[in-house]
Amino acid sequence: MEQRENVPNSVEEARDYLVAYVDGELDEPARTRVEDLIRRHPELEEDVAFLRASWDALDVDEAPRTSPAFVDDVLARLRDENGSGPRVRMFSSRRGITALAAAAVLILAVAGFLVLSEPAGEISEAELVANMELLEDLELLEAMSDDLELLAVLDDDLLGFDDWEGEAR
Amino acid sequence: MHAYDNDDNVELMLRVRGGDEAAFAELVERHRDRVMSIVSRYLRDRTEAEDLAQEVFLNVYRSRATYRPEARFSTWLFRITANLSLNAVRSRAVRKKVQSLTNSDADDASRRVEDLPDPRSESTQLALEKNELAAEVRRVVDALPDNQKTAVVLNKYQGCSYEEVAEIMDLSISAVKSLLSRARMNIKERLTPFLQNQRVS
Repeated sequence: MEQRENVPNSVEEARDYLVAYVDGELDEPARTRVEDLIRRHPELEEDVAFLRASWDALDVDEAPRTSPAFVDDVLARLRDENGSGPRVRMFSSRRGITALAAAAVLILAVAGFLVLSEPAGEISEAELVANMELLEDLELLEAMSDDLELLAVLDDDLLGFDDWEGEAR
Repeated sequence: MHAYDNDDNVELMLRVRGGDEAAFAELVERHRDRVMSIVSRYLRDRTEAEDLAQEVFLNVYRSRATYRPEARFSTWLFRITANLSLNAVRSRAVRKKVQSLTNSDADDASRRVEDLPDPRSESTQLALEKNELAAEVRRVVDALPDNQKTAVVLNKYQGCSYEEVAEIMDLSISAVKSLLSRARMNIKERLTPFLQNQRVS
C-alpha cells in the first residue's frame, strides 16, 4: 500500500489522529482515511467512543458556586485595602516629614557653622590665635600705618611708593 | 474592528480604571461563578477556592491602572485567574490544604449512618455512581500536568476556543492543540477502566 504523509497508515498511527478526528480538526484526506480504519478495526471505534465518553464525563464534576455574600465580601476586602491606603500614605507622609525635618536640621547646622566660622567683618578665634604676635603690637602697627598714610598723602613720589608697590606685585 | 470592541465588560473595566466602584461590583457579579469554576479545579477546598476567587477580583482592581483594552475582558480575567490558581497550587503551604481524595473519603466516613441516603433506591444508586465518577474525574484532572490541566479547564469548562486558550496561556495555537490532545488521551486512558466498570455494573 502506498505510504502518504499527513494520513495515518496503520491502526497505531490512526490513534494519534483520533483527538483531532473527534474535534473535527482533520482535513478531508486524513478524515476519510481515519474513518476507513475505524470501519475495519473495531478497537479504533471503541477508542473513539471512550475518547468522547471520557471527555463528556468531565461534565459530572460540577464546580461549586460562589456564596451569596461573595460580591459584598470582595467589596469589603477592597474597602479594607482602601482604608489601609491612607494609613500607608500617612506612613509615607511621616517618613517624608521626618526626611524634611532632618534636611532642615542639616541645612541649619551647615548654615550655623558657616555663620559662626566666618562671621562677616569679624576675625575668627583661630585667626586671632595665629596672629597673636601682630595683635600684641597692634597699637604700634596702627600708629605706623597712620604715619605711612600721612606721608603717602604728602608725597608719594618722594618716598618711592611706586617702586615699593611694584616690587610687592 | 476587534473582538473586544463589542465587549461591554471592557467598557465596565474602563470605568473601574477610572475608580468606579459600582462598575467593579458589576464585573464581580457577572464573572464570579466562572472564576470560581476555574479556581475550584485547582483548589478543591471550597473555602480556599472562594478566598482565591475573591483574590482574583482584588487583583483585577489593583491592576486597573495598567489595564489596556487589547483583548476581550474574559481573556485578561482568565489569565489572572489561571496564574493565581497555579501559583496557589504550587505554593507548598496551600498545596497542603488542597483537598485530596483521601480527605474526601475521611469526610464521607465521618458522616453519620442515618444521614446517608437509602442505598436500595434507584435514584440513590445513580447518585452514588455519579458521585464516584465525579471523584474519579477530579482525581484524573488533578493528576494532569499543570499546563494540560489549564488547557482543559479553559477549553472544557469555560468553553474557550483554541485561539482564546492560546492567548490566555501565551502559547501558539498548535501548542494548545498538542496540549489538549495529550490531555484528552491521558484522561481517556485513566477514565476508561472506570467507565468500563460502570458500564458493566
